[in-house]
Amino acid sequence: MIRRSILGAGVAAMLLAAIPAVAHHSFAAEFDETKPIKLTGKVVEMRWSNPHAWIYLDVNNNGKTERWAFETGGANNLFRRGWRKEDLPAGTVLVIQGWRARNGTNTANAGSITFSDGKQLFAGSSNPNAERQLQGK
Amino acid sequence: MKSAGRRLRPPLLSAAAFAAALLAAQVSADQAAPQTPARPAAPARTATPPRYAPPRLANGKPDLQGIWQVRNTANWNLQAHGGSYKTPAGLGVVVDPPDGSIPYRPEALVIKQKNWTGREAEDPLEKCYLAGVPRTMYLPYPLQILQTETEVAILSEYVHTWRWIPLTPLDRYPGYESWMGDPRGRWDGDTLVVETVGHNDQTWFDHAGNFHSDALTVIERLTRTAADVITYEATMTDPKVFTRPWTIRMPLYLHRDMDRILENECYIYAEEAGKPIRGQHPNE
Amino acid sequence: MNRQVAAGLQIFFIGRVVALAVLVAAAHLRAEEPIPQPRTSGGCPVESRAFYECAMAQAKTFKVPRTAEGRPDFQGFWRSRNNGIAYDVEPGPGSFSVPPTAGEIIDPADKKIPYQPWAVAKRNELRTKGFEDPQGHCAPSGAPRKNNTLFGWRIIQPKGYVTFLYESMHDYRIIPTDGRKHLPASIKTWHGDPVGHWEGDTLVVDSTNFNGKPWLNEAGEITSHALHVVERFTPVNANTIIYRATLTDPIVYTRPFTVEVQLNRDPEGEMLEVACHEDNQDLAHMKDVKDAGVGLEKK
Repeated sequence: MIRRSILGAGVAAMLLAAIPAVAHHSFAAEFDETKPIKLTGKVVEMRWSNPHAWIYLDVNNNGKTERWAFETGGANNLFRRGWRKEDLPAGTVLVIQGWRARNGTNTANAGSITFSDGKQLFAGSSNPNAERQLQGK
Repeated sequence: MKSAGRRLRPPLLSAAAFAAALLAAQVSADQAAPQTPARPAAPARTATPPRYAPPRLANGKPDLQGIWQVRNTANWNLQAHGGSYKTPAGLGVVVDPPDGSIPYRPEALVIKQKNWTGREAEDPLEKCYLAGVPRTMYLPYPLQILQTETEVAILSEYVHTWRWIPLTPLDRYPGYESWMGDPRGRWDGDTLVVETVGHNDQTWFDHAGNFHSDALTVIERLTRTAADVITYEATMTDPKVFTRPWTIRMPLYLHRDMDRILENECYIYAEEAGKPIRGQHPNE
Repeated sequence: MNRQVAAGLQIFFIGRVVALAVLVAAAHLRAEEPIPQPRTSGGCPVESRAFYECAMAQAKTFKVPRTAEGRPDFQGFWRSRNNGIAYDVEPGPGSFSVPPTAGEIIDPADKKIPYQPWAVAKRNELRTKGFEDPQGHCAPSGAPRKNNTLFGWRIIQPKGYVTFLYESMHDYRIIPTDGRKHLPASIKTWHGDPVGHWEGDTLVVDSTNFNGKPWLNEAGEITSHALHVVERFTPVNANTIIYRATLTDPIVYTRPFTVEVQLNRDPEGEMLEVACHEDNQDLAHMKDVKDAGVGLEKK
């Protein structure tokens, strides 16, 4: 059986709301949907793990560099959709929209992740529920 | 090492001359033996015991199913070791290199020694992490093998861990890494051969700190050599850590006292005992 | 800016209208989803009740593929159809991070878990305590929650067994189909002790020996050690199983109740590893929240 290759990115025109990376545990117990956040930063590292993957960004905050951790959907679904580790090299500039962790650390749940040219990261499926499936639902 | 005064090799002869010399020696030996009356032939003595004939599935492949477990101490140390605090003594299971050593690169041996020193805290099993391959096969817990004609499942009681081994072709995702690796199986005669790649670098081979990188390839061979025994071999190749491949071998014994495997929820038990173990958190 | 999110997986209608709590700021991100073009599953409409009737009619003439043992061949990679039930067994309007769902209860008719009064109170309390959900600690979920998992599973059927290999937490259930006796009552487990047998083409799985710790779903739906689950897997077409589970627990419920979910085989699907405990970074965050005594409202 041949595994599915990356699905066409032609549906980038599809409107994608920022959707939380939901999980096998309570989103609300960890993140606060009333605290949306939008940050631009450089990728330090991406941890390709399950049930969530994590992207670490260095964000410039008034001249200081802050390290932020963003939770995304699990690595398995990223692999299934054709994404590979080399697609996100260190130094890549990303804009991440998400929701802050309730514990006040520099942690957030990623809703949408875009490159500086506006292209969506981890998107591009003809499946209208790709985002939900992306996050393992 | 040469013995003094003796040549190690036979006198040089051409092959033909050597064969002729052998034949001549045999003929003269026959002629030297006295003629004896014919007598009933003695029962033929086999050079090796008859090979065990395993039960088979409908497609003729050996049936490896059952609940199995090792009886050795490989989980604590693959190499021969005396007893020590909380560690039983054991004879080694490394069969190649023949001297039982594990062929580390010099810089990797330093890491192994560091692992050894910190093993009580750093052994992934002390944190109830997944055991990886091949260690999952020689943990001190039963495992159940289930198989069909197209797939084999090896299910360890330790933290409800499955290994799903397809016997039919299946592509791999490049760059995919996991704790238990990505196995593919095939039959080689009556031996199940499993090739596993895609290991992350997080697991150890044993409590002694023997370790590997994410370049590890493991080739396992499972042969049912008796009703109650699977002879299990695993060859490790990892050019980042070892100078050459090396092999372990051990028997897996059938559990006749269990009709089902039970539950072991390591990290949940730790939490309930007031000693929670947290997963890795590299951002903190 | 209003955005619309495609709703292909939102196939179940909300059973009743419940007032939504106001969600500040993020509300616009979850605007009503357009009704998708009707899709079918195996020739039946996907909406729950219509599907069920159609599928049951199909099942009468459906020739199920069989294993060498003559049993229905369930082998392959499966997913549960309704994602909302991963969060709550009962119907719900959804919340920020939870899709609306018609729930999965088919009996009783009011689609509420028939809790004893003390258990309702406990459930309501636990709804706001996400840290307490054992699944967030990577504890196994038992039945039926395991079949509501967000990840899929593989079924293999060696002779005498139906075995589920779950992607989530690399978990498994080995189900012998010889109707053997259960474990001694002194052995209490997270998974329960599943014992199966066939009734015609339906696999019936009887599970006891639970330790009372799993929740049915994210919504604080507690169980006790008296839980007894009987699951029925009925194939209705080539890639669909209707799954029903009847839960009996005299300590928690006033009567048994039954849930139903559609399970779909994905011929191209396959299973990967989810390690859970090893990479469970969320638990530390949730514990901070718990330790800070910050309550949180779940809708």
